Amino acid sequence: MKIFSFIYVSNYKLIYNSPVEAAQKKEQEKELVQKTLENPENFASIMHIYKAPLERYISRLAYISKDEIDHVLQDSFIKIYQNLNDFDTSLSLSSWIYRITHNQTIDYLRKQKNKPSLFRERELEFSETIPDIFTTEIDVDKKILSTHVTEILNALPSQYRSILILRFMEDKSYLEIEDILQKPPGTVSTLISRAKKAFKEETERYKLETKIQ
Amino acid sequence: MTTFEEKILNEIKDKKITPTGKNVFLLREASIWVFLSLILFLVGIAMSIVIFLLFDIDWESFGDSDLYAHEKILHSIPYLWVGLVILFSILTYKLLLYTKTGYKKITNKLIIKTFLLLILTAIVLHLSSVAENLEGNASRIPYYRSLVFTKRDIWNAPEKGLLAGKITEITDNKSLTLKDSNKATWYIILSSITNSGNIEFKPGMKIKIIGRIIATSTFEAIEIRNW
Repeated sequence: MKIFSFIYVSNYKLIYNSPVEAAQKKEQEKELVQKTLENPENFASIMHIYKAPLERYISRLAYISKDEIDHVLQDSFIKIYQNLNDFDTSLSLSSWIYRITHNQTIDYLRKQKNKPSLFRERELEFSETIPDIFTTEIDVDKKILSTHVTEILNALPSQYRSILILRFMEDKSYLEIEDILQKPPGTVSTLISRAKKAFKEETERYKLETKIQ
Repeated sequence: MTTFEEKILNEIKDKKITPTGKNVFLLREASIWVFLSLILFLVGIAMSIVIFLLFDIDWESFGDSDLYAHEKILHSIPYLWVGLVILFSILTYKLLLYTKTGYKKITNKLIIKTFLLLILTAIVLHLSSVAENLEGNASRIPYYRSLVFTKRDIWNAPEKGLLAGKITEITDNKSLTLKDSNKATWYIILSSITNSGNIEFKPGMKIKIIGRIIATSTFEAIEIRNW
């Protein structure tokens, strides 16, 4: 049996509660990356932490099959490994990893432009993962949202879709979203406002077109 | 360890994938910043040429045209250079987003400070005649003069009775020699002048002349104005 060395990271949190905790977390992340650079087997620790969240994020951002999600996820982790020396310690490891995954997913979608999306097939699965904050923040009919959210999201420009998913489904802070999408300070709040407005308008248009009550 | 993690680690081993060296990233970052600085400098150059061309507008050339003041202004705006200022500025912004930390620095304060610095640079380049020289050199580019029309072009038409240049020698009070923008030497006859505006001619002075060609490289002046 192969024995792989792991870095045990306990109680890993994505949101910091205090500056001390934030500093400790940054040190841990730096150490984790350093250990991986010294020994590739330690990359398993990073994958262990991020596989599930990234898989969920890719499935929300791109309406593709499970096999394709795995394919994008694999490519993302390979890219993350290749770019470890480029990890900017001023960012959180999470934001940096999400950024690479986001870009890989968008690139994949661009190449698959002409393929039909699978949002209808994955509608129920997707709608079950929508947190309540999505409906309260955007203030749309929950009935519509639960059954047609993927169609509505899919109709939005990818920039709006990404930001709504990151903010209301992945629960990322404004600072994290700035780092993931490499947006200047202040633009994230503007984009979120526009995305919410676009989502509401798209919902209304959808209701009219499909005559949903 | 899960199957997925094993799969990735095996792929890394089998394909001998290694993390890209730090120097590669440092070089990439440095290259972007160098290129960005160059583009920013080009913004400054283009702005200085815009300022030069705006100050160079020859309102007298509109003569008795029916154009309103705002139409004359719109007619005179150097659209090519204004377009280049906008294009280079957008390029600078996009390049900054590509840098590691550039996107965090783009604030309204930074944009305003950079803009003011560029305006200052442009004014200095204009006042030191660098902008004028650069604009003059740009005229060597094919089709440039069909896009950008300057006061120099208007007054570089001796066959139409318009000539301008720098006085090289004052022969006597009836003639002088002048070098035009094409470095050609002209012998200017002053005996037929109806209006010289009491200009005191000095070597090195730039003037514009209304008159006619009377012989090869000889121009009879009817009216002389300060450049």
